[in-house]
Amino acid sequence: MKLSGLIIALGIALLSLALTSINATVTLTNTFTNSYSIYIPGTAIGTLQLSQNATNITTYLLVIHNGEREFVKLPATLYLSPGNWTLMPYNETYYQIVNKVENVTEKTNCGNVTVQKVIKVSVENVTNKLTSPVIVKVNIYRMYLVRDPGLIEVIGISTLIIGIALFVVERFHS
Amino acid sequence: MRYSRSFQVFRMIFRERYREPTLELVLPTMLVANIFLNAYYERSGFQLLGIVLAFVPIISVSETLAFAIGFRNIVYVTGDHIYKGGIISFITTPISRSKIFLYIYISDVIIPLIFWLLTTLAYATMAGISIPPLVLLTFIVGYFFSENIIFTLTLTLRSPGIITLASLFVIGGIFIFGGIGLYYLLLKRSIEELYLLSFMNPYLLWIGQAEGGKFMPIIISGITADALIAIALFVSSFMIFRRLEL
Repeated sequence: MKLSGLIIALGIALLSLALTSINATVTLTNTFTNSYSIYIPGTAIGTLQLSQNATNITTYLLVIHNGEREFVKLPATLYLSPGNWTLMPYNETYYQIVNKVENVTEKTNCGNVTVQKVIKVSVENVTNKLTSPVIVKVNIYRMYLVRDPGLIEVIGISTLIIGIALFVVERFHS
Repeated sequence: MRYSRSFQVFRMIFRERYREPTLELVLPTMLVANIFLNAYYERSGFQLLGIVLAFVPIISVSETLAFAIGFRNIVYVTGDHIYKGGIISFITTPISRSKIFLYIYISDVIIPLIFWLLTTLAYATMAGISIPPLVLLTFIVGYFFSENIIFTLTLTLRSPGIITLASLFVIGGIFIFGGIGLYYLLLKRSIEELYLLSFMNPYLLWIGQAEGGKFMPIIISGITADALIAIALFVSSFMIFRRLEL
């Protein structure tokens, strides 16, 4: 049985696997209020877009990536690197305009009169729980077929060369 | 170099089935066709669902290729030999019939499976996707189940045309109607009946499992039933082959 043909064919297959990547952009959209986690394999390249559909809210998220903790202020775009990503709310700050009723004493000619007045006060609220959900968009714009394209390329080329050498040997020494 | 007699017969049987361009065409195609594993994995958000979908037969090109080669080996090589009487020259070689049966079975059925397993595992290792062993086992058992049905049909019906039609109807019927029935039962949520049909198409249960259901015991029972039927068919085809009259 001649092995050279098989080895050449496998070399071409490995080379094509190393050189090809899926370029169609895939977007995974999710919302969360408690926590969100996703596993990114080593073959994917993309971004993580975090946003919130609210204008007067400032939210900080705790992003845990492979054990590293980082605080991120929304909206944010993170570059995905392989590994586990976990997003958790850290705190949320928002200003609320509250109508406050106050007793105001006014001096009039007839004496002091106590009047109730409605005053608008803005109150800063800080919570650990999110009131408005966070929108997570995982954009994968490139997906390699193999984890280490360079290594596979080298293996493919060397397999190809071995196959061609074997082919020459089989051709002229039999 | 002189090889043993059994090995010479095995080499003859093997070479007949895998002539010059077969391996060169099949192995690289199987390796490259696994890109669907990556594509589905990406689309599913790197979840189990993508892996399971990429492993469904017909969607998975390499599985279909392995099955097709096994089918071709059984029906158009072994079946043709039995139909035209060419098997006599193998039976008259100085080794026992059971050994010949074993060699034919290995080169017909087991070697395509080994090709598939090697290429898929190599691809999964290169791509960094960890495939649950039970998903692999589901296909392996299902492969033996369907190829053993074809083997038994070949030894009983003998004519290649009739075997092709009969096995297409039997296997297609099992998988398609099993799939329809399981889908209906999954929607109905009747667990007891799912156990009954689970051997017909475990992939549907796998999709249900990946979507968040709890069907693992049903999948395992289905695989076990498949394996038992496959073993029974293997034994029966061995019995038929030993008493084959030509």
